[in-house]
Formats: sequence, structure tokens, C-alpha cells
Amino acid sequence: MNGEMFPVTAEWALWGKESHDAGYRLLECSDGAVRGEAFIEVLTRYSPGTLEKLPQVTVSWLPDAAQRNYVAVAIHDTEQGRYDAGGRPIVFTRYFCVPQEELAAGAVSYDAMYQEFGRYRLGAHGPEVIKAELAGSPGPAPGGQPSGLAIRVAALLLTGQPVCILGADRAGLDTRLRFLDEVMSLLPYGMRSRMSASTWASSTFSEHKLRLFFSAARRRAGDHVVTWGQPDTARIGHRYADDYRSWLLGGVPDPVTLLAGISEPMGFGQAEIAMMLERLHVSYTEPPAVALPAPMPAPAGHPATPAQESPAEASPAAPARAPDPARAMSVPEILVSCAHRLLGGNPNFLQSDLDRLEALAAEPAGAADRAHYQQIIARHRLFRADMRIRKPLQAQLYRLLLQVAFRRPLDYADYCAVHTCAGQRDDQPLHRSLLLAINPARQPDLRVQLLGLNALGERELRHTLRDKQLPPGSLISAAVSRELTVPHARIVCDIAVSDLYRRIGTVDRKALWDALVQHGYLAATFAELYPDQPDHQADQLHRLLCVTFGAKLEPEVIREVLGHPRAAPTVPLFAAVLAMADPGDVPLAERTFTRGIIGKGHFPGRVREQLLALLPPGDHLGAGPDRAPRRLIPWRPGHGHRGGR
Amino acid sequence: MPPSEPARDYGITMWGASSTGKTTFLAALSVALIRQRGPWRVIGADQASATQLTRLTTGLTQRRTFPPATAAVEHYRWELVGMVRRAARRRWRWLGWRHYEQLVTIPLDLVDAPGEAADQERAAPVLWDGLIENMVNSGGIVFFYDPVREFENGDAFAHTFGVLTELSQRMRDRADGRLPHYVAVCIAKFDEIRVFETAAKLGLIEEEAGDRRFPRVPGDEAKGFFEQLCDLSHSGDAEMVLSLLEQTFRPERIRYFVTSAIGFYLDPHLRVYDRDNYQNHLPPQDDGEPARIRGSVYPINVVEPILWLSQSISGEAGE
Amino acid sequence: MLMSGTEQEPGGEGLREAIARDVAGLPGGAAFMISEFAAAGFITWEVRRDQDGTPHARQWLVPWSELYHRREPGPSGHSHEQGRPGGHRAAAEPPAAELAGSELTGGALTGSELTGGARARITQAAEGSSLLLVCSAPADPSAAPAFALARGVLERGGVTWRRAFTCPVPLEDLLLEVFTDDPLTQWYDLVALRRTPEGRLVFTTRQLFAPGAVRGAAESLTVRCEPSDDAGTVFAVMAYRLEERTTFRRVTQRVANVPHGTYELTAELRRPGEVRFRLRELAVKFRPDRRSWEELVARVPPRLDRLRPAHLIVAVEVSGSTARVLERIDRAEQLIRCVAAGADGPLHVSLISFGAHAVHRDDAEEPVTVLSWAQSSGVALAALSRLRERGAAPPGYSRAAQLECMLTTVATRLTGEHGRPVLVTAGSRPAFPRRVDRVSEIIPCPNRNDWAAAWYHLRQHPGMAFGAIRDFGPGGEAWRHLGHDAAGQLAAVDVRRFAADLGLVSSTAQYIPFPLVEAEEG
Repeated sequence: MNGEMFPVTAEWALWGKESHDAGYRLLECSDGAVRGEAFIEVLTRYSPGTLEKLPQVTVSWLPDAAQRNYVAVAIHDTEQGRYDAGGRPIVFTRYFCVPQEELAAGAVSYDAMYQEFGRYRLGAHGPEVIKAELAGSPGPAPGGQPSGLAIRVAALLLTGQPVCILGADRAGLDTRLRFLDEVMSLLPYGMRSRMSASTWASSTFSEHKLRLFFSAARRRAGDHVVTWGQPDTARIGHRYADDYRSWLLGGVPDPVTLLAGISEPMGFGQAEIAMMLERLHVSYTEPPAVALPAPMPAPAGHPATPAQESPAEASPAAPARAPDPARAMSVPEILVSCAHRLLGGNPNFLQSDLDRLEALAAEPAGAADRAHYQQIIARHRLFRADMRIRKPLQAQLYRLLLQVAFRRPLDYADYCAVHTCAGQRDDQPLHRSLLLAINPARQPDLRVQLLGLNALGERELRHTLRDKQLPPGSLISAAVSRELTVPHARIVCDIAVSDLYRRIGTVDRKALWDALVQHGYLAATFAELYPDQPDHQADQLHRLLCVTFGAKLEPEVIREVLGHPRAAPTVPLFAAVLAMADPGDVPLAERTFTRGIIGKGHFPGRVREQLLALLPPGDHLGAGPDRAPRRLIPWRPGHGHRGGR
Repeated sequence: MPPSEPARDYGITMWGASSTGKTTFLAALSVALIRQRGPWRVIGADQASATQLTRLTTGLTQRRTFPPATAAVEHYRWELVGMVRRAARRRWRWLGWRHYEQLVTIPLDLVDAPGEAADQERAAPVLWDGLIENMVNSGGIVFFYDPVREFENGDAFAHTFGVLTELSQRMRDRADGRLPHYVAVCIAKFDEIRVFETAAKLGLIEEEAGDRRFPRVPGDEAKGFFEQLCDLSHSGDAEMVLSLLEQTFRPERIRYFVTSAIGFYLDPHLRVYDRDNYQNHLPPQDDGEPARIRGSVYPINVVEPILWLSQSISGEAGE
Repeated sequence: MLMSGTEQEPGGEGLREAIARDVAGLPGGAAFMISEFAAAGFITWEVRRDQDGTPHARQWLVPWSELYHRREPGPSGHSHEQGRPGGHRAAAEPPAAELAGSELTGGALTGSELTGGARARITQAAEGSSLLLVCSAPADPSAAPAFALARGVLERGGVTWRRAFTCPVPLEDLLLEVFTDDPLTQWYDLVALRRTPEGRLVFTTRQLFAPGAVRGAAESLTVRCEPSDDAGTVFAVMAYRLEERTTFRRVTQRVANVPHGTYELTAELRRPGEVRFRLRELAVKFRPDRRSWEELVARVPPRLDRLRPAHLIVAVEVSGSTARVLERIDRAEQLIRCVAAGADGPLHVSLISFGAHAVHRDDAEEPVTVLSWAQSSGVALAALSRLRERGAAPPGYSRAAQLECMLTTVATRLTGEHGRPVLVTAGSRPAFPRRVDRVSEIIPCPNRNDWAAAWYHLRQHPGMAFGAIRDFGPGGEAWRHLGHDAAGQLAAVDVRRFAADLGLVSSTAQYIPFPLVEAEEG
């Protein structure tokens, strides 16, 4: 493409006045396929108004009768010494139009057309069409980045509204024309077949039909306005435009060459733009197929909120309709969009969706909404690890997903929900990046903390536990939490026990004893968790007892532990106690245990009383013949040293 | 700046054939107001219109050239602002009236279309539609009649008829069959030798009060002058223009003015109008010079039609 | 002094004197014969003096081969004709020795070879028709016996006034010498023209040579040459006899392109019938002229007008394109030069330039400038070349020029003292009107000048003439008045005729083909 010349055939027209005319009219035109009426129509339609500074260049388009597309360049200028009947300088317009496919072969720029056709004096030679050769577009300058302003303007054009550039009074005609080329080079070449632009337009001519123009002041219409030399980085607010802008900014290495190759004629209608964007994998067009789920039973305390309706989600069987790009997307739509992008060829331009999500994530969502979102996440596997996008982006995605679809801060139920959404079973840990996104160390819920840290790894867990010095009461509470699933409970219990055991000697034993007392020394818990592993139960219970009471158990303690008023002792507990009991106290232990079983067992009251009556009294058990009588003050840790031992 | 369309019945459209002086008239408005030393002045209501106002005015005064030929339908959003003396009754009636000054702003939405837009056969459809649509939405029309051009071409009636037919057709839901617009019929280019001498020959000239003693045609003679001028048309059809206007619009809403956008030449040393040397318009010369204005600009009857139209329109709309 | 007998002179002086005498005694129109026996043949000369006194000679030659028999071919073999295939030699040549001998002895050849006709001819010449018998080739074998025969006839006849000469110099040369030295027998005058006080042109002559003038005589006189046509001025010499004063015969007619002026003409007599002219100040070539006298006389105009003193005022418009302005300046220069060269009397020239008024604030005023007033043509031409350097005025109002202010300036300054005023205006634009002009719409003159009033005022001057050189076209009313007496287009004006129409130079039809001389006193 560089330096090569491409043959073109240009039809032309000359618009102006003779010296005796008062009004402008078509003076001459070529005798090709385009007829005079077509020239008149297009010259007046795309007129830039009354121009004070000349020359100026207007680019436009026209189809001829055979629906062939032409790209046109019109040069407005005065001629020395030519005045009309009223003595005013005549502004001549030389209009040249070339079939679009001839230009597309070389991605010929407007500037090349102007440089070549600007030399022609029209009407001097006969009415034949002009045959010329135009230089193809040079490739992108190595290392040259399209300017931020050009990118923004190209994106704004996709909204379908005209774009007005102010503040370019000092820029020369060549600069402005080359800027028009730069903007159009950031759009598919085929869009030139419907593009109309001008290096200047009269600011008081408010009904002109130009899509892109320079002017002195904005006109009274819904134009986008940009200022020359001041690129604006704010969001545009139109989906196609924002998507396209982020695609140009970071999504693709050489957009100019890629876009120059797309030469099928296309227009600025929203449907066509949507198709174009889809083709470039910039955006999707099929409606997000998110069926509204059956409203979930609202959890206690949460009022049911009506789910957000979006037109495309009316019913799964509704015919697909492209969503209106000017309307803000709803969260489900964004989530589905993210999913599609991840599947698409260029997942890196996820950014715009994430930006949208960022804006919406600030508002808390209702429970039903969250459930909905979680469904979407689950269905589209948005928590999966292998996304092939940059890590920061992935982290942002996870963070935002967690923010919108889950309560903040994350509690255990949500944590399990995350597992569900991620498609993991409870015993499978979540992958690292998701865990990092969750940031368990910061979660107030201890269970989530422990589970998360545990999943992250030994080191993190140990570091955190060492740093935090969790109070034993919390640990025990977490361990016995009924909400925990079995695998999670095991993990938590194990962590709790091992942590307490690690801190043996420094732990607040009173608090620990209180907690143990409150929860029946965790015997039942362990029995539940490890029903088939009595030895493990005994082990853990033993450790707990060690941490709490030391190596040896006093008879009072034994009686306390095994004779817990509310919970029946279990066999592993008995085993643990036995291991720590003085041999002389074994009968006591045994007796207490038996009583405990019967007493707290499952027998109904009358049978229990009968069984208890059968047992020998327990008072004079436990003391050996050679044992000195001991004080009956039950020993309580912290109340002073144990006397005598 | 909120985008807004001109409200219905609010704007004023300049209507006339090519090079009858429409844009020059607008350019002279500011100068005319300044020279009058009255309470009114004109400002731009938005940036684009303000820039254009400045450009048009300095073209006339500094460069002494005429504005470039209008190429498309231009919208100017200007405003007339001025302190107007009002009277209100006092609480105690026997004390009489209380006079105060109030700042009044009259919006001036002007539409300047190229002259060739008025010729249905030759104008491009876009221009023709633009002109007619703007006239439909306007409350006032300034109709330009150029006697010199009429004398040479004789096509005023053809233009007028075409436009009014189309206009009537588009606004035919009006009850009484007449168009509701206020029309200021301006006989333009009073400073041209042929027009001025014709008026002099008919004895319609009187001297204006003031230190410069410019000649003028009094308001009540303007219509008669128009009739006389129509007789001098090249084609002889021009006399039908007057009848057509009076049939199409309400007669009480038509007023006639004899205007000149650039006025008469005043020698910079003598500063008094000279009957023997009053040409202010230098036609284009053979060696490719544009038309120029010889001296300073002293517009005649430029303010009066605009002021009358805008006050009538605003009064009707309820100011 | 008549001499008889054969005289033999090596240089031929005696013969020359004889011929000179005979020629001198020859009246106009008469002639005599001389017979010459030359090597080429028998030559009969006729010496004649024509009516204007110029001697001429004509000859008839008969070769000897026609006069001698042809030699018979003999056995001696001297004959050449038979032996030559197709021989065409008319005469055989006798051996030279034989002839030489016979000639000296005078009796060896008895002339038997001469034909009867030749014999008769020679006899007739000797007996009466020829005045002189000359043998110019005495050694010639053909000529000698013929001459001897002739001499014999002469002696026998006893004619004493005819003579026979032997002369080695060809007779032709001798005759030429005689003719050249022959003194004039008539008066030679130069034809000239003279202007009467009323202005009519009449023929006159000036004497150049009297009878008896011989070769080498020269005469000088002062003549004045007027412009003549392409052929030039004719210098014609007429001869006449006193007793026939009214009959002139043209001797010499020469023509030369002599520029207009006064010269000293020298006429030199080369020989009777030939006069050479020379101008002292000028080297011109005098060519022979063969035109008839009537034709020349017809070319002489009846009158030569003398001109009065004139005051030429040239006004040049300096507005417009540089090319136009320079062309106008060129025309003005041509006009001034033409008038200065052609005017008889004193000439004063004035030069004025003017442009357009400044109408717009940006225009430049180009005022009426009097560059020189009533000076000589040289001063005016110098001012014109300064104007040429200045070039055109900067462009301003292009529809009119200050004709009215120029006319007013001229009217103000003009007195009658420098001669008859003639105003020539070169330009193209109309004038500024005095007040608003409905028709042209030209801005009025700020000084309120009126071109018509100024024009009428100027017209009052006696002899006032107006000439206009306009770029093209007839122009408006002002230009019609400015070109009242003479008008021309810038590109095609005939400057000479233009000046003549204004009365500044004589009319163009005045070619004077003859030189002019002043009237003689008395």
C-alpha cells in the first residue's frame, strides 16, 4: 500500500455562478453515470453553509442509480477577480466523486484525493470523466499512536450523532483535512461510503447534514462537541462508543491496518454499527439470554425485592432484539456481556464492562438480585481460573463479581455460595486468585477467615493465626458452628485445636474452659465430625483437655468433664480423660462416665432413674486406700495453685 | 447549552430574490441601532450567532465590503435588549402614574436564506424546503423588493407567487384562509440612483430631521411608492405582487418601508448630505474588484421593520 | 589643316585631332562616317551628335570572311576544308608570309581574293561615304589589302579632304577619348522646384554648365530636399540651346533617397551627357532613374504649405494597465517627434499626466500634473521618458479619469502667446461628471469640474484644435469632443496623418520629388 498508485475514475461537477447570475447553480458536470440532478441534490444537501475563510474541503457520499457507492471530495474556493451580479466574490465548488471500491483497493485518503483533484480546473476540457492515479494510504507510522482526540471522535461517531470540533481556527486546512482522515482511519474503511464531513461549517447554518465538522461555535442541536487540542477521557455513555474506544485504546495492536481492510460499504445506523462491532469482537449483539429465575424464598430478615426487568429478558422464548446501546446496561446484562467477551476472541477489552459494573456496584442489591447474579455467575463460570486475561483484570472482575453478587462483608453462607458459583464442592478449595479476591484475612467472619486462609495455604494460615492470636472462645464458637458443612467443620475444628495446642501455656485457659463448658467439651461435635474415627476424636479431645487443664486431670475436673450437666460424654472423651487421669481416679472416671451416659443419654426419665438407682453411689469411689483424702474444693484453674500436687 | 428548535411563530424570515440585500440588511442592524442612539441594542444569544453578528458588522464598517453571498439557510439567534420606560399606576391613584425603566429583551430569531431558494424551479429541493419550513415556523417575514433588479429582470411576481402558494398549501389549516404572519415589505436599495431619482421625481422625498439631513420617504408614502415602482417593472407583472401580498396576509399585518442598508454617502469633511454626490455603492469594476461601499454606513429604515416585527410577534405570543 | 596621304602615327594623335575636329564641327543632329579596317573585319562607324549635343558613335562590323573568297583547295595541300571532315571553316588562311610580303610591296596581292561586293563597298566608302579611313590592324593579312585598295581609290579619286590613317590603337578607344573631351555645346541645368510666396510650387532650373565646359567641370549649389516617396529625390539635368530656350532635353536623371534637409549639392561633368552628383554632408547613392518625365511631373504637388507656430499640449492618462500606459506614452513620443521634425515654424510642447480621483478610502488620488509647459520638444521628450519610468498609476477607481480636471487645468493655464494651441489627449476612460449621473453612475468629481464647460472655454482660442488617441472604440461624449479635429485608435493611429489633421505638419500626400531651391533675387 505504501507509495503505490491506484487508478481511479472521477466524475465531477462545478457549482458556482456566472458573472451575471445572482444565485448559485450547477455550471458544468461530467457526462458519466451520475446525472446532474444527483449532483445538485448532493451539493446542496452536504453544503457547509456560508463560508468566510476559504478554501475549505467537504467530503461526502452519494449512490447513483445503480446503487453504486461513491466517495466524494468537494473543494470550495474563490477565483481571483470573479464576482457575481451583486459584486460579491463567487465561491466555486469543485466536486469530484470516485467509486468507493476503487478507493478501497488502496485505502486512499481524503487528503490524497484533495491533493490530486485540487489541481484540476473544471470545465476547461470537455465533459469526460477524469482518469487519475491516487496514492494509496501509507501504513501506520511505526511507533505512531493515533491521537487521543481522533480516537474519541471516531468513537463518538458511532453514536450516530454529529460531532463538532471547536477551537481549530488556527489549524490550517491541511491539518484539519488530515485529522478527518485520521479519524476515518480509525473506523472501517467501508464507512467512508456514508460519511459526510467538512473542514469547516457555518455555525449559524443549523440544519446542515454533516456528521463531522469544524466550526467556530456549537450549533443548536444534540451534537457532540470536542475541543481541538484537548482530548477528553471521560466515558461517553453510549455502549458502542465506549466499547469501541476501549478497544482502540488497548484492545488491538494495529487498528488502522485492520480497519483499512474492511471495505464493504456500511453506514452509521445503529444496527449496522452493532454488526460491525460484533464482527470485530468489540461488542456482542445477541441479547443476553438471562431468563428471570423463579423468585427465591427471601431469607428471614430480607424483604423480597422485585428483580430488575430488562426488555430482552421478558421470557426465554421472546425473539431476540438487540439491546438499545444508548440505554445503560443492567447488571445481569453486564455479567452476561462479560461472559461473552471472555469467550470471544479479544477478552482484553473487558474493561468497559468492568467500568460499567464499577458504577453499578456501589448500590447494594437485594437478595433476589444477588441470587440472580449468582446464577449467572454459576452458569457462565465467571469464577473460573483460566480466563486468559491479564491478572489485574481478572482480579478486578472477581472483585466486582463478589461485590455485586454477594453480601459485603462475605459471610459463611456467601462463602459457600462462592463455592457453588465456582462449581467447587465444599471440600475442594477455591483457586488462588479467587481466594485472593475474597481476601479472607480481612473478612470479619472467622469461619470464612480460617477456611479461606486454610485454602490459601499453610503459610498464610500460620502467619495470620500467629499475628492474630485469636481468642479461644471465638475459635471454639467457630468450630462448633452449626452452619458449617462437615468438611468445613472438620477443617475449622482441626485448625482450632491445633492452634490452641500450639499456643499451649499462653492461652487464656479460663476463657477456653468456659467455651468448652459451653459447648460440651466438643465431644458431640467431634462425634459428629468423625464418627468413624474414634481415635482421632480422642486425640483431639485429649489435646483440648491438655491445653485447658494441663497434663493431669483432677478428680473434680474429671467429674466436671464427664459429668457435664447438658451433654452426654462420648467414648473418645472418656478415652481422652482416662489417658490424662491419675490411675487412682480411674474408677471415678468410669463411674462418672457411666452416670453421664445414662443420665444424659437417650433414655426417658423413668428408665433413667431406674438405671441410675442400680449404679453404686459414686461418692466413695475414686479414692484409693493409700490416698490421702483430698480437699473437696474443686480446683479451678486460675484460682491459685493446686495445692498439694 | 440545551439544544432547542425555534419555537413556532417566533422567528423572522428574510425573504427575497438573490442579491436584494437581505444579509446586508442584517449586517447593518447593529450599526443602525447605534446610530439611532435609541434604547435598543442587539446582542447574540448564543456563541455562534454572536460571532456572526460581529463578523457581519465589522465587514460593513471596517472593511467596507458586502457580506458574502449566503450559501445555505443561516439561523441567527439574536436579542434586542433595551431599557424601556414603562408606566404603572401608583397605589394612590390621584398621585398619577409611576414611571420606571424596565430591561426588556426581545428575542430575534432570524432566518437568512439564499435568494435562489425562493425560485422553486431552479432551487435545490433541500434549499426550497428549508426556506418554506422556516417561513411556516416564523411569525414574521421581511419581504425584500429590489426595484433595480426588478427593472432589469422583472421576476418578482414569479418568485413571490411560487413561495406564497407553497406556504399557503402547507398552512392551510388556518381558519380564515389568510396566513397569520406579520410582513414588513421593504423597498430596498433606496440609495441607488435610479430608485432615489424615481422617488424624487414623484415628489416623495422629504428631509429627515437631524444634523445630517438625509432624505427619506415618509412611512405613509411608502406603499404608494411601492405601487409606483411596480409600474416600472421589466415584465409588467410586479403590480400583482402588491395585490398578492394583500390577499395572502392580513392587511393590518403588513407594513411598508423604504430602506437602504448602506445609506447615502457622506463626505467625511463636510458631514452633510450632498444632493449632487450621494452614491455610496461602488459597483464591481471591470478589472475584477468586488463591489464596495464608498463611505461610512448610515442605514435607513433598518431598525424600524425589525422592531415592529419583533414587538408584534412578542406581543402576540405574550411577552 | 588637311593632310593628304597616308599618315602613320603610333599613338594616333593626328587621327585623334582629326576626329576631334570633325566631331567639334558636327552640329546637333548631324553625323559622319568612318571606315575602319580592323583585325576583326571591316567596321563602318557613324559618329553623330544628338539633339542635346552629346556625341555618339555606332558601328557595323562585317567580318573579313564574308568579304574574301574562299581559298580553292590545291594540290599543294594548303587547303584545309577538304581534308577536314564536315569542315565548316569559312575562310582558309593564307600562309602569313605571303600576306606580309604582299602588303608591303602593295602589289603582290592584288586583292583578287576580295569579293565583288566587298570591293564595291570599300570603293564606295573611300569615294564618298566615309570621312575617314582608318586601318587599325596594319599587320593583319585581311585588313591590309582591303585598306590598300581603299587608299588606292582615294588617291585615284584625288579627294583631298578625306584622309586615311593607320593607327595601331583601336578606333573605339580613340572615339571614346574624343567624345569625353568634347566640350559641351549646350547649357546644362539642374531641374528644381521653387515655392512661390502664395505656396504654389513651380519648376525652375539652376545652371550647372555652360557650353564649352569640359570634363571635370563642377558646380555646387544649395538645395533643400523635402520628404519624398520611396524612390527618392530626383536630380535631373536638362540641356538646352540658347536660341531654343523653351526646349529642354533631358541629359541625366538620377535619383537618391535624401532625407529631409538642406544640403550642398555638387554636380560634376564627366563627359557630355553624364553628370555626377555628390552631397557634401551626406553620402548617398545616386541611382539611375528611368521614369518618364510626365510621371515625375505628375507627382509634384501643386502647393507646399508653410506652417504657423504651434503649441502642442499632450495629455496622457496614466491610469489603467501598465502596458496601455506605456503604449500611450510611446504614441505621445512618436507624435512629438513627428511634429518637431515636420513643423516649419517654432514649436512649443507641453506635457500633462492625469489619473483617476480617489473614490474609496483605499484608493490613491492621481492628480493632474503638468510635467512641462511650453518648452521645446526636447524638454518635453525628456519629461516623457521620466513619465515612462514612473509607469502606470496604482489602481483605484477604474471607471473614470480626471478629464474634467485636466481640461480645467489647461483652460486655466493657456494663454495664446505660444502659438496656436493644439490639445492631444491619450487615454480611454470617461470623465467624472459634475454631479450624480443617472446613466453612467460614475461618482461625481469632488472639485465639481465640468469637462464640457472647460472644453467650450478652450475652443474660444483661435485656431484651437483637439485630437484624441483612444485605446479603442469611439468613446463617450467627452471623447468625441476631445477628438473633434483628429481621432485615432491607440494601436493603429497613423501619427503623421493625425498630426496633419491637426495642422501640425503638412499633409501626407506631399511628396516633393525634386529638390527645392530658394527663389533667386531678381
